[in-house]
Amino acid sequence: MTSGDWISAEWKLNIGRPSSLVIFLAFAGLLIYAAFNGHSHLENRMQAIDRHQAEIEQTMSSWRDNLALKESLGAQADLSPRTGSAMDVRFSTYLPQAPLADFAIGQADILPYLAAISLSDPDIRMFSRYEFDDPISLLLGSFDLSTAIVVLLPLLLIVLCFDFISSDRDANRLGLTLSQGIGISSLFWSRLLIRSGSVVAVLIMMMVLVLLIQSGYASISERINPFLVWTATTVIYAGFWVAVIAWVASCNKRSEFNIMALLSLWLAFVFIVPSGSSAILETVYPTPTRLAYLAEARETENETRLQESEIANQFILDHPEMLVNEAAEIPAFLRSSFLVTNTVDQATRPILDEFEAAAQRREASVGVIRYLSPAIIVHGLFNDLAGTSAGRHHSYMQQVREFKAAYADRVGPGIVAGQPLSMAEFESIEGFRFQENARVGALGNHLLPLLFLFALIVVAVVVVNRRLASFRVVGQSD
Amino acid sequence: MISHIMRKEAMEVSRDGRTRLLAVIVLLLGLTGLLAGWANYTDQQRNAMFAQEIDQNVFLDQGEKNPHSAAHFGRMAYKPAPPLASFDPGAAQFMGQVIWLEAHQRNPAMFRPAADSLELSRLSSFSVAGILAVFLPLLVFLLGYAAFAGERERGTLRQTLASGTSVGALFTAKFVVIASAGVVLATVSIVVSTVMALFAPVSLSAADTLIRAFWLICVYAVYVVGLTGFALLVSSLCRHAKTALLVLLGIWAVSVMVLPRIGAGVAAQVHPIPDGAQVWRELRASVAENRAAPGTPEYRAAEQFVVSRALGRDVSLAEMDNMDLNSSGLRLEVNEVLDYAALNAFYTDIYAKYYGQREIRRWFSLLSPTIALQHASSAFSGTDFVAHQHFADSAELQRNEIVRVMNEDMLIHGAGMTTYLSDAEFWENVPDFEYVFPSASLSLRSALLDFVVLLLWGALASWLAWTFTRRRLAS
Repeated sequence: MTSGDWISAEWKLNIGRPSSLVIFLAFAGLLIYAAFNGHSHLENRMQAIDRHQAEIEQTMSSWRDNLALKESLGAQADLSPRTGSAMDVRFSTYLPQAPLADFAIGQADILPYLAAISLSDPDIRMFSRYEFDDPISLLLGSFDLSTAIVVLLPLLLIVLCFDFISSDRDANRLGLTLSQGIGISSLFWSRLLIRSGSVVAVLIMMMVLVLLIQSGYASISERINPFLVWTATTVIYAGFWVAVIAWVASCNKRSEFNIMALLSLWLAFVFIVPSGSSAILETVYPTPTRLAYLAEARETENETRLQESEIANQFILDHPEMLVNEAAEIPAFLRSSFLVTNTVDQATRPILDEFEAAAQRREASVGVIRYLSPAIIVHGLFNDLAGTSAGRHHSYMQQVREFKAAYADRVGPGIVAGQPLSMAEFESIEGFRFQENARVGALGNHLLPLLFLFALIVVAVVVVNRRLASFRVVGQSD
Repeated sequence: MISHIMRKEAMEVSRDGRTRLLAVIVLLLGLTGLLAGWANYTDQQRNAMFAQEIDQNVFLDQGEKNPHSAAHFGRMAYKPAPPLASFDPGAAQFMGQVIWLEAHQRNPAMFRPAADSLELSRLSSFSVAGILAVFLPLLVFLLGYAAFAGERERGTLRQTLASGTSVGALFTAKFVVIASAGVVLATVSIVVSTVMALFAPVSLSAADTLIRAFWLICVYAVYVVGLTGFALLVSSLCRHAKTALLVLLGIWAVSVMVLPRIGAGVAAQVHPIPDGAQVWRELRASVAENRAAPGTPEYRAAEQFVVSRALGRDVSLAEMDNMDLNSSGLRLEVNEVLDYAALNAFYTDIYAKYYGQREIRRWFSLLSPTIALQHASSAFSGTDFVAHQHFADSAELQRNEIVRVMNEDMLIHGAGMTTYLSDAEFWENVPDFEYVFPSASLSLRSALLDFVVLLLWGALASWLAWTFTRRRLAS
């Protein structure tokens, strides 16, 4: 039989049946909804970033105008005494949305992607004021293309392929089919590949459509490379499940056995292993509690206020150059505010470092444990490709804190000395820009697991072919 | 007759290796989930108590300080975990653990535990309730798919009916045996969780915990009844056991895995929650818009109210104008009083969006009873949003109390001073936050509609199963 004959036969016997077409349509509909949902989340984030930038820009524009007035008119200008204080400078920061961000919402719905930097706010409050989302929606999780692929694709492959050979076996017509001169291997692989290929084809078509339609915020050229990696990953993931189906089918059992076995594997790989591993890793590598972090911050804040004069003296000893013939122009309470915030930030940074270290230890463990489940491998890679992984968000938060610390180091002496920033100095300070240095490395981390999946596929094919070589048709004598 | 058939069905169920395997898997997972949930719960409880104690010490140790400065420093309201959170943590991982109680503003709870969790934990929940929500339908469907279709295929159905067994007895026996398996599994899980919860170090009465456990058993039992009805309905309609299994697995995948997520997504589209920065912007604007200007009758009335409350007697406007009071303290407390309504109204609007989302998800629960189960289960475990709001509202009352005590100290004792400092001992006058969990009746009100939906599901599925089975078997 030619390929065309196989496709035609499969269309008549399976894919073209109304029930199958309904399943395909439902799948396509779910993919469209998933894409729409991902895009909607992304649009909300983009709009929030735009509003955030506009607000900070407006605040800083007014700050600059006042400073210009103060510099040109001096004491004659009728301005607040805090005009030009570095304490009032605010920087907008945001995590740039990656070109494929609409494909996977990842952790973007619970981790911060924007924040204003101000020396008036300690690190502890920088990101914690934005937690207004509906917790139940967060718990139930969002439905995006990543979820559709990780969860639904294997399920659909199982539903359409679990009985691709056992249906004939159950109906006692497998022997009859093979007596037409068709080899078991040819029948086995042709049916399986055509059925599974049709699912993958629908998926890839929908993804291409999404890529083309939803490319308003990033050009196709920016999206195409991550998209190709995404598609290759999808194909390998689908390949893994096809190999699993082939392996189960080659056991030559009844359809009921096949569906039970495949469903158990699906549950294990997609739900039990990821959630179980996550629970175990979080128990083995606990992060320091945020409540302890908060308690430490408050203790330090209180102590700093009680010992403010000593801390100020120490600061001045560290920066004696700021006190030479300089009369304070800025109100003293801003100095207090800076000293308290700065001291609290410095005291709590070791705790944050411990958070980072615990997170890295966990990530390293996930790097090992992900080999237990293809869903973990693909889920992590998709989030990295979409730029919505926890790692990227943590990197953003860390960079924001570092930027704030560097800014505090730079302008702190002036604040303690009660001096305003000069316009020239202000303009020499570069705004925050997220450094995307870890992405290539992050993607590179997924190469080995993908190769592992590919190797599993190859091994499964070899095993299945061996089994097929000694395949016995039930009820047929040797 | 029914008892004979039930015995035979029970024997078949117990002999089925797949059922035994699945039951063992569910029990092992449930046990692991329970231990993980309990460890998480005790950890959270210990941390909250420890942090509350430190916060208390820090607050008392402020020394001489301006009370308004102390009001900005504020207190922390740490959220204790309800005892049954080890059974169903609900959305606790996605709700903040502590609320900063400070002057001028009402803060949301901060520090969501999920933000520190691994991202792969988003794929599914590993709590006992999460495991039951996924595996109970699977267990019931696996027990039920061949109930009629399998017997029909094997030809034993005709034999059974020909031997004089009534359709009603056959249906009832199968229904009871299959449903019992699910109900027993759920009940054991809930009872074990409840026993552990009774030893939890929190201020919730044993009676309240037992009432919640009773309702949880009811909720899961009704859910199992609905699932059993479904399984028997499909089994009686399908000619082959394989087809019945496929249809039931399809229903399971869609209703348990897909629809809850889609429901949540659609709800978020219909009732979008503005991003955090926008919420703060709107909150500031709302407070500024609603605050009466000094000198207006509303402002003067607020001043009179504040002074009267501080002195513990009615004070007339004329008397107030001649009193020696700290003007900053008066202004700050008047603003608190005026802003209180605006802040609460704003949060009520935000919460209305959450409840709007819950309504949308409830509509989806007409398609997927799992959504109703999740709502009701978390409500009776005290981990739904209603319980969280109860905590947030209590914390807000405490915030008002703390700020009032400090402003009144400045108002009364700081008269004539530009910089008033409270004594180092003053902070002991500020009351501690002692949160009392809401009673089970609040949970019942919160979950009533979801329970009704589950009841409807159970009744409809059972009725359809009986009607179609009777027709099919009669023909």
